[in-house]
Amino acid sequence: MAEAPQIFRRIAIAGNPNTGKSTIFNALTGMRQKVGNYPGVTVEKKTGRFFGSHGETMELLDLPGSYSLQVRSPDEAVSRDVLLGRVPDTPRPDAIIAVLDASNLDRHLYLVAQFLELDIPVIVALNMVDVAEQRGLTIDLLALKNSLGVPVIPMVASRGQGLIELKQALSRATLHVSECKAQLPIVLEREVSALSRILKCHAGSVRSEAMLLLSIEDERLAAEVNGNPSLLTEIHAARERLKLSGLDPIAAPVDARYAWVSEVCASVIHRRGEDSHGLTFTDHVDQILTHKLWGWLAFVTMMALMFVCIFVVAKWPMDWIDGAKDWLANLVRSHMADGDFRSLVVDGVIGGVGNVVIFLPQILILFFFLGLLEDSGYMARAAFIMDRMMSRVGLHGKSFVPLLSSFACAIPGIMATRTIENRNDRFVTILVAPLMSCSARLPVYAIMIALLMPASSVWAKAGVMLCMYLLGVAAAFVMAGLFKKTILRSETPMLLLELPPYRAPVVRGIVQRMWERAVVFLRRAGTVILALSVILWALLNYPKPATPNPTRADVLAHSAAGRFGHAIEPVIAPLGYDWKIGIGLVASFAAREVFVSTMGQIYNIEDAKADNEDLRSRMRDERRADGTPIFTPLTCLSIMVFFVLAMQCLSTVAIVRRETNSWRWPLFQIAYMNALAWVAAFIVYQGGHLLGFR
Amino acid sequence: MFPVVPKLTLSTAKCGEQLRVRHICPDCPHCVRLRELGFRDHVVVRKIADGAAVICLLMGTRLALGRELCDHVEVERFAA
Repeated sequence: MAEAPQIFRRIAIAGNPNTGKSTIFNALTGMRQKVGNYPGVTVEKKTGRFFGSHGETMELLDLPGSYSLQVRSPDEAVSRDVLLGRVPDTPRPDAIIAVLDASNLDRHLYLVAQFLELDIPVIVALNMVDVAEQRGLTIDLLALKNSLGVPVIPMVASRGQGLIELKQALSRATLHVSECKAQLPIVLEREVSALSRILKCHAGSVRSEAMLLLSIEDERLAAEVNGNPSLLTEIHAARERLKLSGLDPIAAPVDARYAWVSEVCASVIHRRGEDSHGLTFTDHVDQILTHKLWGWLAFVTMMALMFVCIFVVAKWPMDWIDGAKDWLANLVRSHMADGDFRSLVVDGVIGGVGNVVIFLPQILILFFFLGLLEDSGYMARAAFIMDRMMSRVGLHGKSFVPLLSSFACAIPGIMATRTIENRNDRFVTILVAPLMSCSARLPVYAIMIALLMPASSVWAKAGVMLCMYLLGVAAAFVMAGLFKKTILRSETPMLLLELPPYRAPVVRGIVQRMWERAVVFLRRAGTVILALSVILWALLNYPKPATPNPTRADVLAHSAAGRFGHAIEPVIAPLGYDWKIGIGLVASFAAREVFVSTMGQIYNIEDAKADNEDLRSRMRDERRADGTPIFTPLTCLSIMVFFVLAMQCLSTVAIVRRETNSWRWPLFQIAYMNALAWVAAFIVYQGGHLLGFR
Repeated sequence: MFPVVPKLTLSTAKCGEQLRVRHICPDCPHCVRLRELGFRDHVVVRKIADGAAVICLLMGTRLALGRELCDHVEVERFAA
């Protein structure tokens, strides 16, 4: 058995949010962690390996961005805990790559000042030196190296510049702990030393732990000392002594570090020109995109454009996939004798999987647009313009970033809530995030809109799709407001959010993410959807009726799924659904897309003559016993509203369980969302009937 | 009697103005984080957008701050 290579050095990549840490991590390890132009892309530690300049194996930890070791949110806590050696399964790193934005050196050096206090060797990766140069900033690298006492590597990570030098610096036989540190007031140093002596933690980080405890806010202190009353008493006493000597224990270390940073910057940054406060391209664009009226208009226009493209551009590849699916089904039909096995292959496998795969182009276009928003820096602006509305329901704009991410998939959206400081606000955001329409709902909306308005223009179809997405947003807002006033009460948080500069999206990065998404989607289609389709096929075909030569309709009605559909019909009939829709609805609780493949299987099985007919046409022709069509505009709307609001994703349930560390919240989420979906679909269908619609 | 001059805060300052931070209210829940982000006494900021929240430029970084938070940041007009 091959022996695992010995790790020469464990290195953590840390720094402020949005400085290019994951870009450097990907470049060194060859991995493909998500990168984006907004704070909070990375919310948990990622581990990778690479070889140093001499072939030695290094382990690299990509840590979430953090403004300080005095953390305020769960993602920042991950970074602090790793650097302080608090994580049991993660050894304290041997070195830190401090990634700094060269164009914002005076602010980013604050965190470096804290890293230098950790007594871990630091290597500064001075990223985005090209941006600094464009802004008229010249950084004296030698002076910076001397001021910090650590190696400084100028980099443009997005172009791979500086990587070799960084590897060389990391491969040195010994890395030294810098002697250069911010000078703290002597009385504070004395209290830190005294507290260090009674703390039981990693020897290397004891001083930093003491400093953090002395300078933490009162409301966070109790949680930090973990119910140790004697330690709490010591800390309070030390703070009192500091106050008596005229020192604010919270502000003093911050001021001392910034004084040191100012000193360093004064000697290393040289500005060309004097208009450092002039309006930049980003400011001009922000005047529109963050405007209280134009900002909203721009947001809605961008969303509308996205949905128009989903309908217009995706049409051709969808037709190709549909054609390929039919060709394959016909090929199998022409080479196999009629019977159950052919039905399994044609209806279960090709029909079941093909009816879902057909929507891949639309999903990829959705991801392309979301990639543009993430890479350009727009996400933070969306959070900004949403802040007014979010604050009305007791949340702040920062909560909108996870919600916007949930348009792609609720799972990364829920993970992104780790950037939210307050526990109750975070839980509220987790509870409402699955109300945002994810890409798995897209196939359902697309097929229902095609049934609802077959002859309408693309703009009208895109408008209905946009309405479904906005319904999800509105429902998320209403439910968030309700939760904030009842089960998860807390004060409305204050917005504090960094707005990154606009950057041209990197097409390669977006295409790479689309490719990864396509692989995930196809893998899911080839595994989960395929398995579910085969199971459904069996449930839709067995047990067979005892009568000789039964019709396909009889087979379906007599099958296990058919009987189940009939059994639940009283519950779903008020929503306008018949038992066949009921089967699709129940199947979609395993994965939403399965609704489409189930419909495809049901109508294929039932109507043998219509094998080559388009699923939409078959659904359109479907009739109730009294001869009226099943898929009326009201039924289609009712189905879409149900899918907007229902919780039908097992993976999301699992991630909510993990993030809330309890089964209580995911179970509550399933209950409230599905009850909401039923009530809303009922109101749409029955209310529409009362108003005279059909 | 001298007329009481209302304090100028980041929230009440005009958009486009260059300002110097005088003081951050210690009662502010984000006092430490504001300081860590660079909102120290005497630092120069520029208010660049005003609405439900405020955008200001601080040391080359754009920060969006809720209005309530801006009320805690006392500033004075600064002529470059």
